Amino acid sequence: MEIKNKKSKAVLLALVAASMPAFGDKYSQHDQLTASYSEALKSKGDGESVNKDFDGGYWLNIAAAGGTTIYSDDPYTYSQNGCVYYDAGGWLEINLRLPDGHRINGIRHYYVDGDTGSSSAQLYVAPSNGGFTPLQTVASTGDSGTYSSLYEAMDTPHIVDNANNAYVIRFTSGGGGSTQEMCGVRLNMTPNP
Amino acid sequence: MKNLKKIVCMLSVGVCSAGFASDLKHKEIAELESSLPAGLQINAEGEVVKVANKAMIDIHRPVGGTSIRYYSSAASPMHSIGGDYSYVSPGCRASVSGGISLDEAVDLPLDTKIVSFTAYGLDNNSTQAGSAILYTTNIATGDLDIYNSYSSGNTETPGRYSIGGFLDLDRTYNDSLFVRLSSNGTEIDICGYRIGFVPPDVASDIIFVDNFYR
Repeated sequence: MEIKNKKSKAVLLALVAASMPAFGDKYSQHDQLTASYSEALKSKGDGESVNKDFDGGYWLNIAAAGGTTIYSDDPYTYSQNGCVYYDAGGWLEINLRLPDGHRINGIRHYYVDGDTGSSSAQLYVAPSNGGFTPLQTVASTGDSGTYSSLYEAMDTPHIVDNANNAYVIRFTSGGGGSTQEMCGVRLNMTPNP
Repeated sequence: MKNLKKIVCMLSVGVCSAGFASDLKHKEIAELESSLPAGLQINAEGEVVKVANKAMIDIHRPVGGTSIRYYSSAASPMHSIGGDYSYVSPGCRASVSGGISLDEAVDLPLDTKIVSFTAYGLDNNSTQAGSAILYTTNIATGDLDIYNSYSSGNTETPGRYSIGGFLDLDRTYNDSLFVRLSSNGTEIDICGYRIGFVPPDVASDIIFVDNFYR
């Protein structure tokens, strides 16, 4: 609901401000959580105990450190904060658990890129009848060595079909060493396409 | 020259042959896959082709008509419990020396009913085999049980294998389920598995036909 009237907005802001604890008020995180959860989960009738404010979109975060290397002779190192890097390049993969019928809209790659090379995160499908189908690939940019991310929307949004496909995230580091850290991905999902 | 060949093949979709794929060794295949743009596919024959763009998008199809859902995993991201291995396209693994075993925990919720288990790969050897085991561990006692095991066998017709069967396994409070895919030689490609299951919210409502005869 959009509030267009300036007077209404002002009244609403005043009400919100009044409901917030003032400085010096005793603050109980437990009470806050209890209140918000009980409100969100309040039963609204026949079996309804879910938060109806859910807007339909959600995200899945997957840390790179949970992956396994696809060649056992490629040594890699855990850095920190769920990030890993290959000593001399390599590929790291993670099986995904995605709900059937949900739509994948895009993928964000989190990385530290500190040299002229780059790393990438690729979402691909391995159908049980053979074949390799990349759905989207995101390559790191820059060489500042700071923690960064890049998002790519799917060229064609993909509907999850676990009956025929296995979904895999592949992290690839072309260069070697701690200047190319791969940290994770975030998938943008929609449950009801 | 190799890179030029890759790019020319990728651009002139459909003309790359299986011979091209066989030129690629080991990590070159993974490099090609990782640089493959969306919209192209390396098919089962190793050819770079366009992804069929007439795919029907039917949101009800994966779950419609039945309450059975699927839980699929490729082998290449699975955890090796010993032995050196190499990647084989697409999403498969092979042992470098001797056999190999790959494990993965199955995190399906309590009261899920598992109705099928299928493992797949490539077996072109008359003395080696791929195998798949569904383990249940009692997490309270540590006792390990093989719920079911399957093998591609030594004498079957060479080619892609798909092994498994229909099951009637209810997930219980203490069972800790995991899958092990194994090979006993370097000629076997392990490619993945798929579990068919009924989610807990509907599993309790299902009466299997064979129950009527008990």
